[in-house]
Parts: sequence; structure tokens; C-alpha cells
Amino acid sequence: MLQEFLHMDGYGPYVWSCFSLTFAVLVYNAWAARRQLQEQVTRAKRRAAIGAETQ
Amino acid sequence: MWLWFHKLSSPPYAYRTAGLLRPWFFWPALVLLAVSTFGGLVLAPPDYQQKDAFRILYVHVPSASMSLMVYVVMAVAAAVGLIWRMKLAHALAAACAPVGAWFTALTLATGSIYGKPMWGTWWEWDPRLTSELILLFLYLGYMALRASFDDTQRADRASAILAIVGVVNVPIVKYSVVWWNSLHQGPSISKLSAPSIDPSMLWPLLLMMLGFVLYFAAVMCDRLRSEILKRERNASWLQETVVGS
Repeated sequence: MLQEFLHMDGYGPYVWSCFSLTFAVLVYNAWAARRQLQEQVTRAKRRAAIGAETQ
Repeated sequence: MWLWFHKLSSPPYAYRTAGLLRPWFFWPALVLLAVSTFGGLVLAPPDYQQKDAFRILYVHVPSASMSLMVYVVMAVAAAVGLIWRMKLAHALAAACAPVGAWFTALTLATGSIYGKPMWGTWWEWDPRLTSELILLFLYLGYMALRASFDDTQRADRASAILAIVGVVNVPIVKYSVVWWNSLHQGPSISKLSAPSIDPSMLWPLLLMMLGFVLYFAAVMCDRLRSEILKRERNASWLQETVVGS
């Protein structure tokens, strides 16, 4: 049953590589956007801290 | 309507709104993607001609439609930014490009893997495939052009013109299979008459497409927020919003 499902009537390698590629790209994009945002927030906080010190 | 438009175009308001909206896009997107993947891989019956290989269309078609939709969003945002000198619209356009480029690359890659068993070739210089490749180059060109300016405003204006001019490629990609004799199959679901795909195969595709749209909206919330932070680094509201929270 599972074997048959993974086999995909002989198209297994094509189907599975497409699906894994797609989800890899989706996960990467969501992660990259989050990381970029966190980086910008950290920078903004650091700038604010420096600003507070110099005042 | 206009009041809302003006309010939304203010960076602090947009920053906060995008942060509030993000989970409302992200979690439904995750559920939709999970359900439609299960539907597409398990519940949908195999195609009578393409057998189980047709299941590739559940990821290929949504990424292809996103590659075009994101470009239209980017071009419209760029035009709004150019015409009304709205910085936030430029920020939105800039945030679109990398995500759109990824969707386009994904479309080409999954299409290529789909093409090998169905057409017997990974690549063909076919109108649909070639115009989609040009779309990828437009995204990459847009990003490269932005990166070549130190001044954000000049980068905004120059890249906006590229984005707007490049939008002519979108209908070319969309209708290439109708206009020219293409190896690629014609449209199945957007035909004016009834869609030529069985409902048992159609529903996972439609859910997947909706999932992709919501996913894109969620990613855009994050990207737009970091774009705003980059541009407004000296604004006083930032201290209250970012440090205060």
C-alpha cells in the first residue's frame, strides 16, 4: 500500500522531487523573511539604545 | 476609502497592521497547504493519460500562477509609488521581488521535472517556457537594478520603471499557449466555459492556490515590515513601536 503510494505508478521520483522542492522553497522563503525582519528589529533596537546613551 | 488608503500608507500604521495580520494569513495558509497536499497526493484519482505524474500540477500550477500574480502586485505597487510618490508602495514592490523570483524559479524547476516524463525533455525553447524564463530574468534584473543604487529613492524610481515596462510579459506568459502552437498544454481551469478538469481533481488544486496566496500574504507582511524598518531607520515612531513593545 505504502510502497504503491511512494511508487506513484513509476513516476515517484518526479512527483516526490517536485513536492519536496516546492515545500523546501516555501519553508525557506518564510524563514528568510522572518530572519530578515528579526535582524532589522535587532538593528533598530541597537540604534535606539545608542541614541538613548548619547542623549 | 481614501481615508483608509492614507492611513494605511503611513509607515507606522502599515508596520503595525502587517504585524497583526500576519498570523491570520500564515496559519490558514498552513492548513490549506496541508489539506490540499493530502487531497492532491492521496484523494485525487490518477489521470487517465498521465497517471500519477499529473499530481505534479498541484505544485506546478499554483507556483506558476503566483509567479504572475506577484509580478502584477509588484508592478501595480511600483506604479502607485511612482505616480503618487508613495514610499510605502515602493517598499511593497521591493518586498515582492525575491518571493516572486522564487516562485518563478520553482515553476521552471517543477515544470522541467514534469516535462521529462510527459514530453521526453527537460527543456524546450517553447513560447510558454521561454516567456516564463524571461519573467525570472525580469525579477532578477529588478533586484539587481535596486541593488546598484545606494540611494533608496533613486532605486525606487528606476526599478519601478523596469517593473512597469516588464508587465507586458505577464499576458505573454498567460496567453502564450493560446496564441502560439505550444508544447505546453492549454488552460484547464480558467476557461470561460466549464473547467475541463474533474471536480475530484479540481478541489485540491483550488485549495492549494488559495493556500499559496495566503502564504504569499504572510511572507509579504514580514518582508514589508523589514523593508519599512530599513527605510525609516531614523524615524521617531520606530523607537516607540520597536523598542516599546
